[in-house]
Amino acid sequence: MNRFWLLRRTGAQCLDILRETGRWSLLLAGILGSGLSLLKHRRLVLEQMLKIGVNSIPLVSVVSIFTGAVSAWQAAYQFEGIMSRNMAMNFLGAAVSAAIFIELAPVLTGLVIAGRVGASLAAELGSMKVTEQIDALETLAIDPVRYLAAPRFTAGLTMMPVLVVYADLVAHFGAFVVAHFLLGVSAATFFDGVRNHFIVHNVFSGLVKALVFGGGTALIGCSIGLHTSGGAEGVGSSTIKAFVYSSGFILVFDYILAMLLF
Amino acid sequence: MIEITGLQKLFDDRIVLRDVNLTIPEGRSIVIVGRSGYGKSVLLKSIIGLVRPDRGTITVDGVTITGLGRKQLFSIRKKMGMLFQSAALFDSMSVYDNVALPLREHTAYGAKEIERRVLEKLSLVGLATAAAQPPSELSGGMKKRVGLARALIMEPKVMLYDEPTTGLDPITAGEINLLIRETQSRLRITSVIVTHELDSAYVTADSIAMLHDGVISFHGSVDAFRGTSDPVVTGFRDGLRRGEGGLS
Ligand SMILES: Nc1ncnc2c1ncn2[C@@H]1O[C@H](COP(=O)(O)OP(=O)(O)OP(=O)(O)O)[C@@H](O)[C@H]1O
Ligand SMILES: [Mg+2]
Repeated sequence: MNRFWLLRRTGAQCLDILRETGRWSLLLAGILGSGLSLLKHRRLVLEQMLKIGVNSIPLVSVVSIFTGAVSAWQAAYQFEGIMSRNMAMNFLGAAVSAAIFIELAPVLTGLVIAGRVGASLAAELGSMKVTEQIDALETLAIDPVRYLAAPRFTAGLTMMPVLVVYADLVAHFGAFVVAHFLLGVSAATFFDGVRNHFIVHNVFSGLVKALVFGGGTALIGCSIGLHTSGGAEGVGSSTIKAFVYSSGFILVFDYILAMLLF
Repeated sequence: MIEITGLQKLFDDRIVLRDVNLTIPEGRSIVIVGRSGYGKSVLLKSIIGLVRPDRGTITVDGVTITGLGRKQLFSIRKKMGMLFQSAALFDSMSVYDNVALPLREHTAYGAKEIERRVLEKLSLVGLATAAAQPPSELSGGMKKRVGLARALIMEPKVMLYDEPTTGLDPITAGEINLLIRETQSRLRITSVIVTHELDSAYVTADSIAMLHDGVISFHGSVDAFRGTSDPVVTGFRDGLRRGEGGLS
């Protein structure tokens, strides 16, 4: 290890990010270019939707309910510092709701999906790669991009908004439980707050984020999986890499989309 | 017909194939022998376009596959089949689905016709009863036989076998050798077989080629291979014998 270690490490990391983004773009182009083959593979798409969507519901439920609960509790604490308790409780529903729609539900669901789906796609396709199953598909004249990546990408893209809508609902429920039973806010006050400050654009923005996060996570997981090398160890590092890159992707694009949408 | 000229392949500056020249006539079967790690699998994978050579050309059925676009490569691959050294079965699918997949992807056959063809190929390798099993429940030799059924399902004109009998018991190995020989002569399939096992080479080959130090150092009929005094061939051919002699 010499004194340029840090510099070299940073440089290598930057190169890796560039190479990865290039691969993701190529894969995305391949997927978009595969067009109608999706119709032929609709059974595979449904299978993946089930895997990515339905199977994520338990985890998304737990994360959302606690997200809603803690944001209600924290909002109450913060508002009480700057306004009367009565006013604070009137605002509670509105504030928590906006945060859930715009930020909390899409980003936290996204991170859950990055961990659960991005990593498992990389592991699945990665182990297919190192055991020559991807090569076998190629020799059978079956395009791995069409057969494996496109259905997974489509499922990620479509299921993520569904999960986020679900997370929206569950998080509101969590927030309401805390507001009502622990902070003494009446149901009417809480939901009036939610309704009076309900802005369709917030929900819409959250869903746009969901599309990007879901598609991005699936794309990254597939790309890293398909480029795996180095046996079982390689599969392990691909799994970690997919999680790291897809969570990074989500946080960066959360910011970019915030700039674009608001 | 397969024509390989001036084929070169490096992995990270390490030369694996230096200058491979080989012609395999249509409908004939050639066995490629050579020591472990000398690039036999790489050569097979180049023929089906999985490995892109650094130099040289490969022509299959008059089509030069080196430098071909993906679309054309896929269309020529439909005429080819490959049995992987590792069998490479899809472990998320049953044996039946493994063999049925190419039919489902490339043909418009109904479920009945697919079933007929799949079971026919599975019986050919003696595994019709294992159709519903997942690959993880099969022995190594059984996996290879499923891989063989899958490679044959589209009735290819060119078959590439990467160590089809390695790891099989002598009886099954004998059956597989016979099967390879029969499909080749009955359907006039051009066959390229990579193997270590000279006994199966003698049964399945019309000619034998020796891959050594990145080149085909010997290529001739089975009799020529058995009779030659080429030092590389005799070393490989009789290495086994000497080993056996040492044990007795
Ligand atoms: N994808 C790859 N990346 C780097 N090196 C490779 C790759 N594939 C093969 N090699 C190298 O090429 C050489 C030849 O490998 P190959 O698998 O063709 O050997 P082989 O003759 O089939 O051996 P065996 O009889 O043991 O199967 C080996 O040294 C291997 O390390
Ligand atoms: Mg090999």
